Amino acid sequence: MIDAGGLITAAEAAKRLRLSTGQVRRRLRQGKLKGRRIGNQWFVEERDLSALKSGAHLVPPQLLRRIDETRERIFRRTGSVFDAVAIIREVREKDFGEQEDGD
Amino acid sequence: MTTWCVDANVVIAILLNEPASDAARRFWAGLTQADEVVGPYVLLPECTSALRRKVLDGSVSEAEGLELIDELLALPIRIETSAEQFRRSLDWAIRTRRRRMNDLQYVVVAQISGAEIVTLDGGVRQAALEQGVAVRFLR
Repeated sequence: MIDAGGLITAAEAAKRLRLSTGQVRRRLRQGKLKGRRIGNQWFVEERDLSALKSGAHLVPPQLLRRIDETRERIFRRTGSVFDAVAIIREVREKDFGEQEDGD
Repeated sequence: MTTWCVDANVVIAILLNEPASDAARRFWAGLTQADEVVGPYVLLPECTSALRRKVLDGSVSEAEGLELIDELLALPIRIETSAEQFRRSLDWAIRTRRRRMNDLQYVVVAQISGAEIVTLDGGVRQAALEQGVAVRFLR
């Protein structure tokens, strides 16, 4: 199912990635998989598929490092230890007007 | 491939220092290109409001708030935009007479996407389990 241009069908890509063909098409439309549409059929670049299967990071390491640096900098400056669940609960109650069940 | 539906608290936990930050970081760092992260439409407004609150109470500076929003927006999260998430969440809230619907939207998006939900919140965990949605609880 590989053509001369290094393309494979979306169905074949789905099989190799253990995805549904719908998930592969969605990733192609979102640009998360490289490929092209020929007629009414999607094709995936086999080289890109190999990168996917190699286990490359979804979140780029440089982004994680940037996030770590910002988080650590805020902690060093303020010494604050936050409570993410409480923060989001407060947002849901005060900004979205949600109330505790049973109130 | 695994699809993960992230609760807003898992996003905030990697951005701000909290007891579960290490667990949240391990989750984000462990994702590969074979994973997909999704969130309901309400995810970004919730996270933005959370950061706004922290800037307003002075625990995060304005400049840091802007850095954090850029980092939030750089995370590879697919926002589910289908109307189905609202219909199903409302139907569920009405049937069970719940006053809180944001939690339900996370669970519904997990169902729509065939995702496992990732949360730090015991209430969201419970709601997901009631619906037969798999949960990764990071606490």
